[in-house]
Amino acid sequence: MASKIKTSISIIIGIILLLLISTLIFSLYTINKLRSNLKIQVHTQTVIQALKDNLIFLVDAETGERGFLITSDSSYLQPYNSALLNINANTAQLRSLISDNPVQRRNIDSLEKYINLKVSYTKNLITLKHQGDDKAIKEILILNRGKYFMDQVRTINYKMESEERHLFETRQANTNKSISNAETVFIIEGIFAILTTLFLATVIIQELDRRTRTEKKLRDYNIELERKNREIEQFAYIASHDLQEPLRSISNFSNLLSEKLSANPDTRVQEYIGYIKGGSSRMSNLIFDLLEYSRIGKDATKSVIDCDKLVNEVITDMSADIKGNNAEIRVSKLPVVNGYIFLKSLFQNLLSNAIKFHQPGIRPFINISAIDKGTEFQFSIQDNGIGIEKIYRERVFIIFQRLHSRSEYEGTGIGLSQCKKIIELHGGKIWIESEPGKGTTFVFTIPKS
Amino acid sequence: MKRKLECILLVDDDPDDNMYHRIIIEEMNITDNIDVVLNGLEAITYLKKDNQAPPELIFLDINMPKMNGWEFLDQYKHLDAKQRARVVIVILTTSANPDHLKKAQQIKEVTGFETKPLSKEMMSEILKEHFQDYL
Repeated sequence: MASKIKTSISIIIGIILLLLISTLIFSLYTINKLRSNLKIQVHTQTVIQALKDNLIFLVDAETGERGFLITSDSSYLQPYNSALLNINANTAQLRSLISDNPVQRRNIDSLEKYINLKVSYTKNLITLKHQGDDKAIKEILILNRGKYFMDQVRTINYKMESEERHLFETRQANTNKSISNAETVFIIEGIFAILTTLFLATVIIQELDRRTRTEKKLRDYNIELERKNREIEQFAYIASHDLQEPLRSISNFSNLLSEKLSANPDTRVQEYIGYIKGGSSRMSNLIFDLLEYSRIGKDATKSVIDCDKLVNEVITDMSADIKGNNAEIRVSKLPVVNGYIFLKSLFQNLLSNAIKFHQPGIRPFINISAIDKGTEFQFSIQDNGIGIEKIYRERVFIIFQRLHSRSEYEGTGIGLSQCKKIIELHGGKIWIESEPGKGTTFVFTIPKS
Repeated sequence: MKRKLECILLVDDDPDDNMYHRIIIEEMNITDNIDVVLNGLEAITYLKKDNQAPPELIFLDINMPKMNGWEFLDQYKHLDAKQRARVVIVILTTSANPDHLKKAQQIKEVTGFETKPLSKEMMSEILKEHFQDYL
């Protein structure tokens, strides 16, 4: 469920990102188009101005020429000369401006041709005037070639100007189209992005709602569970405590009875009292172990525990049992762990099992060791006892599960389940490695943190 | 021969236990006066009685109705010195709850913490530790 929500949120966010990126790319493209259009506009204006300037300079040159022809006053030649210079410069500029357009290049070739014709025509007239050949001048003027050249220049000029305007308009139309395209795309993408975002918001809000509800439910369950747990603990404690009392009376008074009747000739009396005592003592052990089991983890805090010291304490406590079975115990260097004091019961249980389940006639040999596995310590308690068959290796950790009858081995069936509970309290694992007839190794781990 | 203990007080709500403990003590023949009260409140009343010679040894149960062992010890601290003179208090309880043991070790009036039932060996240890001039 959670991963499904995660996938759909990722997909929606992906879609929104794609929309944003495509909008960004598209707007950059449109802006570029607008910018190049602006450049073309300036370019067109410059070309048109240059074309107009050419005409003005030609007219200036013509005016200077005519003034000189009529008056022979050479002061008219000054504007004529500067106009000629300007025409050259202006034509060169024009050529460079339209160099990218083959139609305009052809146009400017013929424009230049007619300008040159007009200029040499004018120059010829001025030379003739200097020579005083008014007759030749008159003949030339009658032919009116100058007006023809000038008209050609005007026509080509106009053609070039129209060409530039036409180009500009085509590009302008293109740009207008892309602006309106952009508008459409932006609106659609915008609406889509808004809808997707709204959808995303709905999905997230629904999920948050669901989580809040689940969390509340979980909290309620937890409170209920804690209350139930406390009740059970209390129940276990009270039950076992109150069960001990009548049991103690049975055991106390059967002891007294056994003393009083010690002289009774009927041996069965002592035998029967023995059954009463045995039964009550077993029940007492059972209750004691249950009480211990229910206490594991109750109000416990972790502390630094030196396992070397702890195991030594356990060995001292069990010295009678160890000596009685002539057991040899070897302890390698054990680590210092962060754990609960219940670890002492764990070592007690495992050691006492290792001694209890020895092979008849073979001296119990027990090896306690630990290795550092990086994130955890792994302890091993190895014995040379009777071993445990594979199919029972999980079952022995379940409470009240026993593999042997009471006549073979004493026990309440609680010890190993206690060990498991203690290790699980530490966040570790416990398991059995064994070869039947050769021995058993109990292995457990304690995480370092 | 050394003399017997003046008086031993048993504070316990369980009549079976009281009976058994009385028998054990009587069989050891270490005192002629064994008094029994059924809770802390009765024990306080007992100790406050006029002309009451304070018992030399109290066996105190923890779990009792009306006033439990801990509440009794709270009240006991505020008694007159005369009413508490030469009293040794041994807690005698059903289960060796480690929390209870820790708590008992912090109360200076408590000199011992044992699990029921009282046995002759236990009694001998207590005499050896606290009453060497007796018996």
